[in-house]
Amino acid sequence: MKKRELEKLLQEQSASLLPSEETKKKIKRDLGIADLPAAAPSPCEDFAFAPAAADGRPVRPARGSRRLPLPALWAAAAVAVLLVVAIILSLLPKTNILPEPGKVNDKFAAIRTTEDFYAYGAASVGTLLRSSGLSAAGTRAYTAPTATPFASRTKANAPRRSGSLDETDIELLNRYMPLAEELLSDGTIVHAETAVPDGFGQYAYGMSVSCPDMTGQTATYYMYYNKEMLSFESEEGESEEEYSIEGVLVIGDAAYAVRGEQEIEIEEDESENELSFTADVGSDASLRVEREYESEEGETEQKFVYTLTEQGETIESAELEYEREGEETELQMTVRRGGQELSLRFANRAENGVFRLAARGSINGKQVAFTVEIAAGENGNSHYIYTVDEKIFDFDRPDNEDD
Amino acid sequence: MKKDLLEEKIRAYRAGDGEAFDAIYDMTYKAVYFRILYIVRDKMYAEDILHDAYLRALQHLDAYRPGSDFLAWISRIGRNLALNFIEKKKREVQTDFQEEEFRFSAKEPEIPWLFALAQEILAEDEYEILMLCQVAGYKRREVAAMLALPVGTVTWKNNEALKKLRRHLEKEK
Repeated sequence: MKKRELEKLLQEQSASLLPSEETKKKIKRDLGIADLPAAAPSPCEDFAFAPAAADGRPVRPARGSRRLPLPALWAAAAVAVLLVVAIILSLLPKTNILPEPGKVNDKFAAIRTTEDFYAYGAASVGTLLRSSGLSAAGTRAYTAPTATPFASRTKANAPRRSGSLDETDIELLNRYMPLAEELLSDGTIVHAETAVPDGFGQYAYGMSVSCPDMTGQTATYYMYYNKEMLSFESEEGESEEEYSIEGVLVIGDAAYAVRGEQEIEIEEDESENELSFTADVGSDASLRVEREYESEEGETEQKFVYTLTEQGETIESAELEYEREGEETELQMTVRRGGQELSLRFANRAENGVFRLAARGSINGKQVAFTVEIAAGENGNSHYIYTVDEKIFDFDRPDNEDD
Repeated sequence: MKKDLLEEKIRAYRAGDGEAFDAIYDMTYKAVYFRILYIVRDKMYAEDILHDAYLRALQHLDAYRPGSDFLAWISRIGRNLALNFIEKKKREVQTDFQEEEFRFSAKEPEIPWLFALAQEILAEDEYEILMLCQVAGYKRREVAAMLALPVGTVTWKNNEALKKLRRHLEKEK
C-alpha cells in the first residue's frame, strides 16, 4: 500500500472515529451555557431509567451501568473461558514466566528504551535514598528535603587507616547493599504507566516502578513527570536529538525533584545514546545516574555510574556493572568517598531460605572476602550481618513494605 | 489553531460570555479526544471522558494560568481522567463482567480496525500526531503549534507512524 492510499483510507474513515456533535451539546448543557432542550438519549444511554436530581435534571448514570445488561449466557461463557485460561496458565511450567530460583537476572540488559532507563534511574535512586536514612532526614510530606540524607551517615573526611577494614567502610558499603541485593535478585524491575494524583496535576505522566529484593519483597516508587523534545536536527543521514523529562520521585511522604536527559547522535552507521537521571537530594545536593554504554561486534557492555554532589563538588561516586564468571552472573561495584575505595564483586549465594551474598575484592587496597546475610531482627525489621574474618558487623536494612 | 484567538476566547468565557465555548471547544477538542482515546480505546468511553474533561476544566478555569497553554492543560486533565478510568477498570475486572462488556460482548468494536491497529502499534505521541494530521485534518504546522513541537518533529513522527502502519498492513496481506 502506498503512503497516499493509506492517508486517503484514514481520512475516509475519520467520521466514524471523531466524537459526535451530541457530546458537545451535552457539555454545553451541563455547563449551563446553552438553554438547549434535553437531547434524546443516545442509543447506548438509557436516561429513562436514570434517577433525577433535585432540580429535575437527569443525573448522569455511573459509567458501565448505562450499558444494557449482559445476557446471562454471555456472562456464563466469559466465566467459563476465564476458568479454562486460569487452569491452563496454572499448568504451564513456571520457568516460562519466572527465572529459576537463585538465577540472577541481568537487569541492565533489560534496559532497552529511554523509559526503561528512567524507571531504573528512579528505582535505584529511590533505593539509595531509602538506604541512606531518608526517613531520618525529616522530610515533610511532598516537599523536597533540605538536608542531604547521605551527609549525616558517613564521615567523608574521617582520617583513613591504610589497609584497614572497619565500621566506617561497612557503613559506606551498607548504603549500597540494598541496590546490590536488588540487582542480584532473581526478580525483574517492572515499570508501568500510572495515573497522576491530584497533588501532582502539573505533570502529564505517571510511572510506578517496582523492584524486587532477594527475599522476594518489592519496593514501589512513583514518578510524575513531563517530557519534551529539546531539539531535533536532521541532515543527510545525520541527526541529533535531545529529549528531557522533569518531575518528582515520590518515596513515602517525600517528593524529590528529578530530571532526565537523553541525547542521541546518529551518523552513518554509528550512534551514540547518552542518558542521565538526576535527583535533588538536599538544598544543594544531587544524586546523578549515568549510563555508560559500549557496543562492539554484537557485544554490549553497560555500566551505571552514580555521582553524589554537594555544592557542586563530587563527594561520592559508585560504578556498577554485571560481570560473567563462568556460568555465573556477578555484580562488580566500586564505591569511592573521600579516601575510601571499595572495589567488590558480589555473587548471590541464597539457598534453603537463607539469603546471603558473597563478596570479594579490595577495600582501601586490602584484599577482602566476606559474606553478607539478611537476618530478621527481634523487632521484625531485617538486618545485614557482615561476617569479615572473625568479626561480625550488624547493620540496619531498609525493609520493603509493599508486599 | 491560533493560540492568541484561543486565549481571547478563554478570557471572554471567564468574563461570562457563554458563546465563547463553541470556539474554545472547536479549537481544542480533537487533540484532547485523541489523547483520551489512545488510553481508553473505546469511542463511547472516550466521549464520556471528553465531556468530563471539559466540564472539569471550564468549571475550574481559575486554576488555568492565562497565556500558559490551555490545550496542554486541558489535555492533561483528559489524560489523567482517562488513566484514572483505566485504573478503576483494572480494579473492577474480576468482579464486574458488565463493566467489561466491551471485552466479552459479540458486538462489533466501535473503532474501525485501522484506528485500532494504530492504537496498538504506535507510541502515544506518534498516534496523536497521526490522528491530528490525517484524521482531524490539521496542517502539520498547526499540529506543531498545538503541541509546541518543531514542524520537523511533527513531519518526522507523522511519517514514522505512516511507515509503521504500512509495514503492519503489508505483513497482514
